[in-house]
Amino acid sequence: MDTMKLEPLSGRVRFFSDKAVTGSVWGKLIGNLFEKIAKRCESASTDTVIGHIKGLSLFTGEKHIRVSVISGSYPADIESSDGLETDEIEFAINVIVYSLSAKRLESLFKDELRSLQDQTRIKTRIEQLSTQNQIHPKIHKKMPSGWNNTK
Amino acid sequence: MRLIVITGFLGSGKTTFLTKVARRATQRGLKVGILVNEVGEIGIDDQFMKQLGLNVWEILGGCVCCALSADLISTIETLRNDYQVDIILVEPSGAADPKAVLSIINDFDTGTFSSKFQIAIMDALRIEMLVEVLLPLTTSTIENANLVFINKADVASSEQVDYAVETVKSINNEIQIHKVSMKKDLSSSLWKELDKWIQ
Repeated sequence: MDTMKLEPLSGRVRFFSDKAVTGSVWGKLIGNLFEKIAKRCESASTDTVIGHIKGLSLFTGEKHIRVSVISGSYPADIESSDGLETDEIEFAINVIVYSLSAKRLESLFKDELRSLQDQTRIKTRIEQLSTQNQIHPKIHKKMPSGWNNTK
Repeated sequence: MRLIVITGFLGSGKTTFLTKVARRATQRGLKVGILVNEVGEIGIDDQFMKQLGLNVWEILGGCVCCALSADLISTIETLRNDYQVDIILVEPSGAADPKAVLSIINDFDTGTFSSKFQIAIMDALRIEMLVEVLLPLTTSTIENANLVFINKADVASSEQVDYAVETVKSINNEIQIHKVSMKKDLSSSLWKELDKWIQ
């Protein structure tokens, strides 16, 4: 059994649009970005397990946009308060993926931000990005392939 | 002072549930302290809860089950000594080992808590994958819990929900299991059960 690597990536990214759009549109855009990152992570290694890819943007008046993806196979879970409209938004982002190195995760993340810029009118700026090399105890060990508790 | 520890893998619905419990306890006049642990260095859940006006203490950048266990205890001590809260809600990171977290709390607890309750939240959509690749973590989550929620029962298939129930039973046959959707309101009968541990 190999210990499963867990090296989280977290940061703050600012997104810019050439016109003000609603919170719902921002939520879908970020959700789509996270779904693509999840799919890239899963295709990078057969051992990859997405913990979550989660983002939050807060506004005055208890308003927020919250986006979460737990797998490349399921759509993003998006919460967006009513009445939001802005051309610029900052997201706190937390990417937890087992079995990919922080370096690989960072590279995938930046690649997808670049693709977003190339394919849309959205511009992005990374305000902060941190990675951790974290060793966890044996509880995070992967079971042999095909092992099933119910057998 | 009562303690509720809410465990479950990443993305299982812990924060959504914790927010519901915190609001209910606050509405009943209880002083609530929330301790949230995230392995990333930038917190998401703590910021969200603070935005909702809840009293949140965050432990970021590692797991309270291992590297940051001392922070877990010192934060509990702060909540007890400086804030005199009635109830502490703890949400360890979804990557944390619940057994280790409870062991750390039990080693510290010499009569601090009048009750301790662990609620495990299992994601019906992902429990099969978790059993396959992270069985020790899944087992630790279920075998130490007092109550298990099978979350996302509204969007999972009946086969996925049945599998989740059978998996939980295979690890802990005595435990109470409730199928829920944390996105929706919990039933009054379920709240009645939870109220025993909240107030």
